[in-house]
Amino acid sequence: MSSALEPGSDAIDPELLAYADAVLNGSPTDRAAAQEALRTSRGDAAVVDAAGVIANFSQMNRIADAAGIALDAPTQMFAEQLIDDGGYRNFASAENTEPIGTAKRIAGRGLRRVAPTALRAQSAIAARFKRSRD
Amino acid sequence: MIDFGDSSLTVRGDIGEAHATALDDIARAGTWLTGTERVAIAAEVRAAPHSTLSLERKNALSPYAVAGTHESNGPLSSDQIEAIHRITIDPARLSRRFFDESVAAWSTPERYVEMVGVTVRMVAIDTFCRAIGADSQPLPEPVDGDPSGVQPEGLTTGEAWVPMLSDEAMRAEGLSNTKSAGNVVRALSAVPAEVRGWGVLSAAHYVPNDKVAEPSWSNRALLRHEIEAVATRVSTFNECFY
Repeated sequence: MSSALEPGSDAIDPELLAYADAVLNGSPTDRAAAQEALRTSRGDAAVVDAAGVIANFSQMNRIADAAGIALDAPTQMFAEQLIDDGGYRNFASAENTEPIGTAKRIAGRGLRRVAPTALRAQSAIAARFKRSRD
Repeated sequence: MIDFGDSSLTVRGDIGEAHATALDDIARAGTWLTGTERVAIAAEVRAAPHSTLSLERKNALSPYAVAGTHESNGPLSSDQIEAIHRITIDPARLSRRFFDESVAAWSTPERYVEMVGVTVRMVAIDTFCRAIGADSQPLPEPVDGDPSGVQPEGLTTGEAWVPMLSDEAMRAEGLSNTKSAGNVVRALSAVPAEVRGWGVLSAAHYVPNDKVAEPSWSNRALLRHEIEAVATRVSTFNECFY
C-alpha cells in the first residue's frame, strides 16, 4: 500500500484526523464513512494503527485524570507557551499542575528554539542507523 | 487470540493477542479485587453510555447537580458504579472531590487504582472495536480466586491524588528501566499489576513504552508524527491537560 505521506514530511492527512473525530464523536454512519476514506487513502494498516492510537489515548487520558497527576516537569517547561496559546489551562485537569515560574519559562523558551534541530538530528541519525542495519 | 472477523479490516495479530490477554487478566482476581468484581467493573464500562442517570450528570453544568443512585444488583455499590461511569463517559471533569468520594466508595486508594486500571483497559478495548467497526468482545466469565493483597514497597504520597511508586521503586518492580518514568506510567503503580496490564495493551495500540521517547520510532503504517497528531486530537477531545 502506498503512503500518501513520505518520510520527512510533517503534513497530516486530513482523512486521518477526520477518522479520529468520527470515532470520538461521530455517528456509526460518520465512522463508517471516515474509515472508508482513510482506508482508500492509506490502506487497512493505517486505519488499524489510527484505531489503536485512539484507543490508547482514550485509556491514557483517563488514567491521568483519574489519578490526578501533574504534567511532568521537563515537559511543562518545554510546553508552557503552547499551554498558554492553546488555552489548555481552561481544562479542569489543569488544576493538578501548578504553573511554572519566570526562570523556568525563560529556560523553556531557549529549549524550544533548539529542540526542533535536535529532534531532526536525532531522527536523521536513527534513520541512518536503521538503513545501515537493514 | 481474538478474531475481529466482523470488521472488514485486517487487524494486526499483536492487537488481538493483547486484547485476549487483557480480558483473561480482567477475569481473574487481581491484587485487591476478585474476578467477579473486576468483570462487574467491565460490565459497568459498557453500561455507562446507556445509563440515564450518568448521561444526565454528564450533560449537567455540574455532575453533582443531578441527584439519584445507580441500580445495584451485583457486587458493586451505587457509589462504586458512579466512579466507573464518571471515568468512562465524563473524564474531563474528574476532580479532587470525585477522587475523595470514590476512594471512600472503594475503601482504599489501592482498590480505587485497581478499579481505574480495569475500567480504562475496557475503555481501550471497546474504543478499538468501535473504531474498526467490530462488535464488542464478549465479557469473560469471572475466575474464582482470592486477590493477592501484595503491597509494593516504595509508595509515595503527595505528588498526585493517588499514591505512586518512586522512580527507584518503579525500577525495582521492573515497571521502568529509565531514570525517571513519566507520571502517567507511575499513575497506577500503587497496583503494579495494573501498570503491567496497561503496558501490554499500550504496546500493541500505540508504541512500546521503551520507544515512546524516541521521536521518530514507529514500525507502523503511520509515521510517528501522524501517531502523535492522532494522540493530540484524542487528548484535546477529552480535555486532558496531561
